[in-house]
Amino acid sequence: MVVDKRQFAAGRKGIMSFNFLVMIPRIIFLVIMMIVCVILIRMFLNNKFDVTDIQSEVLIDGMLYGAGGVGYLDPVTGRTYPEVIDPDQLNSYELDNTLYYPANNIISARIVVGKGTLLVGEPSLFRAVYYNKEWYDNWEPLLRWNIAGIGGVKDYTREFPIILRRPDGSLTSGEVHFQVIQPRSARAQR
Amino acid sequence: MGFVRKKRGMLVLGPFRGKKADIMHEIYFLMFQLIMVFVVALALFQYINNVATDLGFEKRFTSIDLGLLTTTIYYAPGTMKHTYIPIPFPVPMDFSFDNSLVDIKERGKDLHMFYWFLSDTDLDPLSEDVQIQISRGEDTAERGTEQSKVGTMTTWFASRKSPPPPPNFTYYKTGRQVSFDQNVTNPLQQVCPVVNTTVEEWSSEKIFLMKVLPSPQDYSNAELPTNRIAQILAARYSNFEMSGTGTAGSLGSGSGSLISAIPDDAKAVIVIGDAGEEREPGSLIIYIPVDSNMMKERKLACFLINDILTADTVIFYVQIMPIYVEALDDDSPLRVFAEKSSPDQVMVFIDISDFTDDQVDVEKVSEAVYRALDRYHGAFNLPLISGATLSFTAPAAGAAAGGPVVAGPEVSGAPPERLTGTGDSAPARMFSVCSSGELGLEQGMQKLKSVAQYWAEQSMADGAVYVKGGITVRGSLQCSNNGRPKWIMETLKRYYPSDPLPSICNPATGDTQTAECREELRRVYQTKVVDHFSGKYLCADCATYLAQMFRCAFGSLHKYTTHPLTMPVIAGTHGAISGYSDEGDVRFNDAVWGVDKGENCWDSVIVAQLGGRLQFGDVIELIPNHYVLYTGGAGLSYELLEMGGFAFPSSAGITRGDYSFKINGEGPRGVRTENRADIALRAARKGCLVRRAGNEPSRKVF
Repeated sequence: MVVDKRQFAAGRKGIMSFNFLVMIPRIIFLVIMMIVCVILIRMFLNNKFDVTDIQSEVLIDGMLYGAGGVGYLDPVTGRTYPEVIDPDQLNSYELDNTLYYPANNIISARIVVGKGTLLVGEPSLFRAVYYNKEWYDNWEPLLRWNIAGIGGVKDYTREFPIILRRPDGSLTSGEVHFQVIQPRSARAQR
Repeated sequence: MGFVRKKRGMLVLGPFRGKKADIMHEIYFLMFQLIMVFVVALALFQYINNVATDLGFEKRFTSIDLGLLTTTIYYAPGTMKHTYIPIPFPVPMDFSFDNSLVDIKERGKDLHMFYWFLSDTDLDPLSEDVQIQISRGEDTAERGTEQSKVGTMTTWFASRKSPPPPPNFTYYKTGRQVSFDQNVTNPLQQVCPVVNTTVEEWSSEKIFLMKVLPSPQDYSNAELPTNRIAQILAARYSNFEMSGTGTAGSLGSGSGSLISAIPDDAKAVIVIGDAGEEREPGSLIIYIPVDSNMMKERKLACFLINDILTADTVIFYVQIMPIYVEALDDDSPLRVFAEKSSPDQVMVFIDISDFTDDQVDVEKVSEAVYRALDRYHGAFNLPLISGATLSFTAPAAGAAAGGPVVAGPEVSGAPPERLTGTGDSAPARMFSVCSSGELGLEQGMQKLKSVAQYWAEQSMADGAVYVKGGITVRGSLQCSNNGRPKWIMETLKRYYPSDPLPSICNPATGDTQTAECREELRRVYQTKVVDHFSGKYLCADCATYLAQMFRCAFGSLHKYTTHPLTMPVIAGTHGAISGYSDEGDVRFNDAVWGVDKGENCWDSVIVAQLGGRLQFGDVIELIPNHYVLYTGGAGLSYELLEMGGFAFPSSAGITRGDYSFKINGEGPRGVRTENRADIALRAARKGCLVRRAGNEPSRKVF
């Protein structure tokens, strides 16, 4: 863009000033384009991993199917029965002292087993146990705020139909409900 | 602003005067903009390049991947083996597992990437390092050549036919631990129940030791392992209290058991001795009573088993046996469980009577008992017992345990090539379990069972060299080869493509007829293949492998053989087949079974023939000139033991054994076990078993 000198009798200084002013939107446009390029590149370069759901799933599956979880362990045979739960064997203390993470502010869980509800069903089979109850109690209130950033927490829930073992050894159908809560800010470090 | 000059009290831009100046003005601005664009583009490309070449993504990915995988492996019930292949890294990497954290970093740099994994506190903590090596060559051939100098056996030979396999490492999980070194694990270890048994200061808790022996005189026999174990524990640890011997017990004299009254304040009661049950020799049984405290007792028994069974413990059977005390005979030593003074006491009965006195290392068993109680009472952070030997039988230490697991080929430190013609054909660890003297027939066959078990484990752990045509020189552990020149030449060409063949031969025509050529080939083959791996692997062919095994079990080659080469089982290229004989009189497993090609040999016929006819120790000619050992009926977990192996047709629907080939294809191979002898035989030939030797076995041991 060339400025016609005849239209501006104010002299060359005015022309120069005008030209500098005209350059400002150009530079702003250039900066915007640079930012857009960076944003586009960052959009296509995913360098972050969110594995909280997988981690929750691993914890739940391990508790449900692995030894040392919530599955019924027959003391005579020494065998763990996956998806069979003896409410009398459920114990928050055992879970906390068996499953070891290097810090307790990584993951927590609430496990509820029962048949029907407390009012309709078999109340004697209802149990609620926790893994890392201390931090579960800290994090659970934060769920209602649904904070998206690193100050928030995230939960993951699963329900399974299972077999409950009554104290007399008889079996009945039931449900187990897992709620796993993890902070969004958890970072592994030594 | 060098182009600005002052004129008549005002600034005038020197070059920007007139039309020309305007054009120049515009050009400078365009140049400025272009420079800006180039700078920005350069910065963006640099950013993209940094992201593309930075290892942060890979490290982050791998740390999470390993963390989740390790968690899953800890959760997996029972014994398992899992091989992990990391994503390719362009530089050597160090993985470290410690304190439930996986730490990944480039070698020589301090940029760590962590991720956590869950640990089961019933198991030993995982604390090991893995080093990922890379090859520096650009193309396949170069990489292969480089690896060939220093690589492991697996990568060494695989690299000749295809690009080298990616670096990997393998998890071995047993009931006791997760490790990357199979040599420190024992698959017989048990998964223990989860129940809280933690005590703050268990060293102040009383542990009561009891002995139950067949006769009263045994209590005064200081040489008996039971007495010595109890004495060691009572002497070393102040909270262990030993029952007084000579005190008449409530079990009566019929059993010969002498027991003291169990103190009420005893936290745990450890009974050691003879439960009076008939078992297979080499069985470790721990009895627990079926009562309200059984879960804890099972946990203690499980910990005892896991601490007693270290990697080099050779036993055949292990079990935690619940006992209903009410159902026992009155004179059963196991009625000692009725003497519990409190329902809260935990009580276990360790039966070591199925081991001979010299098989029980009292020091190590005592230590194992103490460590099990330590773990039972809540000591979590125990150091790994890498390389320690807490075992009943105590063979010499095997491959060095501990230290980092190196996944992938080493890139430096190639061993020097030996020029000698012979070398040790067998690693010492494989012969550490051999009989020291000559054994008789039945004893020898019992020993053969343990040798077969141990050798199979050792071979499968490291991969045994199968030097085709290799023979073990009579009366020594030197390994040679039978000098089949064409096979050697083909092997050398395949495995050392860049090395010239001996000039004395004619590589172009493959003419190897001259004696000089054959000798030179034999020498080259010996130094490049046999000696190179001789310190680590067993040099043998399928038949001599078995021959060495028989020799190891019976303690002699000469007594039990009829073959002029003085080997009990000779086969293969020598064409001679010999059974097993006892001084030419009593023959055991004399038959060598071959596979007939007859049309009428249907599968059902084979199965029928197999039923009851094969005996442990039989040598089967699976395919012409290839021999395996039948190991069924002896309590082992497989029915065929095969050195070298052969390729099953994939369409045969074979259920492979627990272990597969270390190396597929030709050349050196591993040892394999097969747990379906009938299927294996059927797939091998679609034929029937026929006896190659005429004499019926006159004695049946198993």
